[in-house]
Amino acid sequence: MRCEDIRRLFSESFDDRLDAAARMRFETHTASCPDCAAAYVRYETLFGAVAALPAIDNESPVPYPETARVFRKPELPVSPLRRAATAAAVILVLLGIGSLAFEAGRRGLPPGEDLKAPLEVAEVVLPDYEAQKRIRLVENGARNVATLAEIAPSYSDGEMVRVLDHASGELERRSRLLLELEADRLGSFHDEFRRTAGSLGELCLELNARLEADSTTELRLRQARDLVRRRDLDTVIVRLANFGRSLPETELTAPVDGDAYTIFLAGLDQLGRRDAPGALQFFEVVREAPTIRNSRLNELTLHVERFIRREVGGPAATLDVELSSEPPQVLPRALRVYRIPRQGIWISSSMAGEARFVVPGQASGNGRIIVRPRQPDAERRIEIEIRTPETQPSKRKL
Amino acid sequence: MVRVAEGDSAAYETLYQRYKSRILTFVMRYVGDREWAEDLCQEVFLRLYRNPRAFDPRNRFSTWLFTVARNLSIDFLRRKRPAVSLDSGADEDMPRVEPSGPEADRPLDRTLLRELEGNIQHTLNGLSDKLREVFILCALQGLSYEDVAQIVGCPAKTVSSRLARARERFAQSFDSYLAGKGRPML
Repeated sequence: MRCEDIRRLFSESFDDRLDAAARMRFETHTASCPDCAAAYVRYETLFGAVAALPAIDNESPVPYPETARVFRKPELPVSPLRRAATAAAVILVLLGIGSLAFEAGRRGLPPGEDLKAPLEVAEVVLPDYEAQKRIRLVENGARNVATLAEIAPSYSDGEMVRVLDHASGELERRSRLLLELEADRLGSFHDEFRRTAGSLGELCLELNARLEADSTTELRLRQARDLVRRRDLDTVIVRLANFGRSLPETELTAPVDGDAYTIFLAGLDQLGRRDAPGALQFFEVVREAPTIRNSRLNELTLHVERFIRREVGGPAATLDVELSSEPPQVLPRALRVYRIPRQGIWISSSMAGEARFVVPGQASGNGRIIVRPRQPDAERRIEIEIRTPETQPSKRKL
Repeated sequence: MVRVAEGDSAAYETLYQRYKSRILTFVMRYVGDREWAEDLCQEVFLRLYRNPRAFDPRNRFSTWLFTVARNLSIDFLRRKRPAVSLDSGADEDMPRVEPSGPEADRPLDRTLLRELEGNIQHTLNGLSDKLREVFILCALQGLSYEDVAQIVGCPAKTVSSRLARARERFAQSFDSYLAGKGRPML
């Protein structure tokens, strides 16, 4: 493909809308064309920043027509039956909240209590705009459920469950993305998550009210429980994900001893993907609730996305990157190096690039990153801050 | 919406709090005038309050609300198109959203965000209405192509091609702005 053809695909690529064939052509071309690769990096940077622009807000009061009478419905006490039914509906819908929902289901606690609990968050460094994007995804998920709650009575049984199933799956995916927010955003993340979870809780109450109002409530709740039961908590699910694109998942039918790393490798073996180059961006290990709540989703992944380059000049260029630790194992071999004049460089594991990526093998190990200019005579001193899930940020001069 | 249709003001206020920022952002970016945008935003919700049964529950609520906001914005622009010159000083005329929170603490994104925040309206005004609405809904609001297709009334493929063009022109315009200010382009 010609460069101009590739550049027409920038927008759809940015939105992850390319089909597999187009994606392949795109990646092949950008891997071999430094101009297009640099142009795409710039494109992603600009529109990533555009997506991160804060929304405009105001403090205007809720508008009413001048003749409107404002009244509120009285709050009715919640019956035990309704509470139990609510819990079931919440488990269904809040599969999206992953471990929290599992925990609530196992302990049979009122969902509201658990949703307000502090959340342990994977320590992953992402650019701000990614974080914003992910929060937005979850917010969209919440809104979808709101709409779902509104229209639920109009669905027949089969449709209802199918829609709920889809919604819960979507929420699960989105909430997992939310779980990966960076550590230095913990404060705002917690607030955001509580707000989202709180609104989801309200929505679930609404949904439950709809279910209760329907004559087939029992049938639907039974179907909901079936859906939950499919997620056998004693089964370890290893799922490979690639920034929104689905990759295979496998269930380890027998409980696997060992830490998340061991489990992950076993899952990769089952998938036959252990040696797949450049395909794995991050992974999720889902175990029984207490484990996942105390684990970090990306503890095996060394994300290096926080770096500050102090002295940059000249045209954009691709840098070679090597990331290593012992023993090498299972992480993406391709990194994308973003370089923004006046601002610095940053690097993200992505689909293409000139990088060589040797992966870390131990969850507790330190990563090492070497950045070399492609032009050997160009002198660059690059200050890079490396943050791994296992270590505190450290600065190294290379 | 069912509760709003039954006259439940609390449900209406919940919807307002949930969607007002998104609607205001959309309208503001679309019409380019903060005061008018706030009025239009209020009008969107008043329409919702007055006639909640206009919402077809087979559709997504947010999509419907954006459609109302878009229609009102188009009507507004037809009646009274604000005279916003592409050459006017965007920094002075346009509202600025000051970065706050974690965004402001990240040196990498801060400069770019500041540039964008100060000039996004200037750049958006350079787009045609059709390109601008798709750009705002997809690139700024993060709506799916399918939702935007429903809002603007065209196929998703058309949304995709408009968005690609809008982004291309936005990038060109933004680059020109940076170059004009003597700043190196990204």
